Amino acid sequence: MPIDHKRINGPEITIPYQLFDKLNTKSGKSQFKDFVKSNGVRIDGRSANDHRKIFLKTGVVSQAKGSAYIELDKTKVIVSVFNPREIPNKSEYSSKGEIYCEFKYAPFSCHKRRLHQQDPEELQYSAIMKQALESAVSRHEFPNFQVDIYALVLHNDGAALSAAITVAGVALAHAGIPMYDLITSVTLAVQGEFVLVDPNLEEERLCQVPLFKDEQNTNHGIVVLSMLATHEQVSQFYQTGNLAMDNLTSAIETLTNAAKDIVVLVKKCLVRHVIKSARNVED
Amino acid sequence: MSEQYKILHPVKYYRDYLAHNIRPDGREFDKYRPIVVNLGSISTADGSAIAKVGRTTVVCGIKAELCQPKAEAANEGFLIPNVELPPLCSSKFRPGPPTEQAQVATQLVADILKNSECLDLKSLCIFPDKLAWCLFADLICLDLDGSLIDACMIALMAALKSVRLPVIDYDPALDNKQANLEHRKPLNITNIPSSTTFAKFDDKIVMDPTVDEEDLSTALITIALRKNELCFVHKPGGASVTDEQLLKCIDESQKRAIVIEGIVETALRSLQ
Repeated sequence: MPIDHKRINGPEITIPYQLFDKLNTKSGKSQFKDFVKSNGVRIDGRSANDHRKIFLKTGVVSQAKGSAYIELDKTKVIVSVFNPREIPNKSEYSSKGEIYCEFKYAPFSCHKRRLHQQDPEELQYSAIMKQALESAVSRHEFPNFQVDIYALVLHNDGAALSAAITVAGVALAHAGIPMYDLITSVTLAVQGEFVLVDPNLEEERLCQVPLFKDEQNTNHGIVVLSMLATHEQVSQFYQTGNLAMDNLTSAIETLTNAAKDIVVLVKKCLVRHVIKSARNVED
Repeated sequence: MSEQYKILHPVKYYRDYLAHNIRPDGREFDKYRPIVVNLGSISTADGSAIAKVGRTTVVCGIKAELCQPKAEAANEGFLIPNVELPPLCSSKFRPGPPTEQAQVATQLVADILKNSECLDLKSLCIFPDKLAWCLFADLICLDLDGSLIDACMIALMAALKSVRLPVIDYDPALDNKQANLEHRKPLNITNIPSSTTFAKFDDKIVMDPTVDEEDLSTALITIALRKNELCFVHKPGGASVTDEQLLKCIDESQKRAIVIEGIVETALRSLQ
């Protein structure tokens, strides 16, 4: 670990103890079969198209203009949004506002401890989040200003990026930032002929490499899609791995349907917040 | 109307409240905010806890890793605390390296841990000079509304109490390590240090200030206690405090420390 002069440093070399666990002699394919049975039922009883249970709450950070918290079963993400402020290091006037997204895993949120500084994966996810949210926000309403959105993953159990995008949309609405539409995001994990909506961490890990090569099916990977609900427009699309063209079109269809299902929850959460603030104003 | 008054004349606004022996949130000077603790919600961490003191929220996650002990302390492991004040907790912070406030908070937490001797580092050693545990205790503030150190200490002690380390079989001759993830043991935490923050304004001292009160205060005092012993008093500059005021603060901290200990123990029982 490089020496960080602004933090207390531990010993130079530390090894996670999970490396010394019993040797896992199962092949990737049989591990996957443990998680997903051949009839498509997953280990937690969900079918391939089922999303996990979602918990959404707004107003969790009192110091932020807008904030929200999401739980996708075990995945926990908190986002706070701040008032538009001047863009640092900028001299020219721009007629559109900027949004600044920061996506970060907490050091204890993943199996392997993460460093406090953003690593390349987090920088990439921050850029994807920005791309997703830019289309949803009415940038001409705050010209020459910047809206800061900070997402922190407290516990990663798969689909952290899509959870962050969905909850960032809710936080932006809670903050009163003018938006064109509600945004929701879903992750898809593909392995062979199995297409799993909202994978958990193990399913995500097992879909990173092709496991059914002997059956001539090298489809594998993760697809993340964000959609604007009412306009029915895709604002962000990200795919890693191998995906055949026909599977791609069916994947997009599955994702758009799953994204539409979540919009109801987002709407309910925001309506609850509006009713609560209306009641507070009355008192 | 009061909102505008608060923004235009913050000092006068606060002074008016204090003159009536009450604070803007309705508390008296020696009343502290409700404390909420929740343990073990983050299963990727070896120990975790979330503590809320009023609206100040701190989450603590402890990750355990294996390492070689330092040469000068061959039979001791490591406990590395780190307080992070991310931009999400308050508009005062920007992305980047830790601010002075975060660095001071980290050092305070480390000092309180060392002084209170709540965890004997020798118990973290698996084999002298060859293998020891290194516990990274990362405290992330999610909402900064005053009394940061209080919330950090509660979250940290609750998380430490919830840690379950796997048993490691170590063969020194072959340098062979085997982890038994099913068989886990808790740490031996001998006491629960807790801290209380006070803010001085004019000649009055208020307990458990909110962030607005902290910003207006002329001095801040943090007192950390374990059982009935002082383990840390921090008064970084600011206006002077009389002996009686300081003793009164220590007295009130003692009462609060007992309450905090009770809350952490109750939360722990819910975990088992």
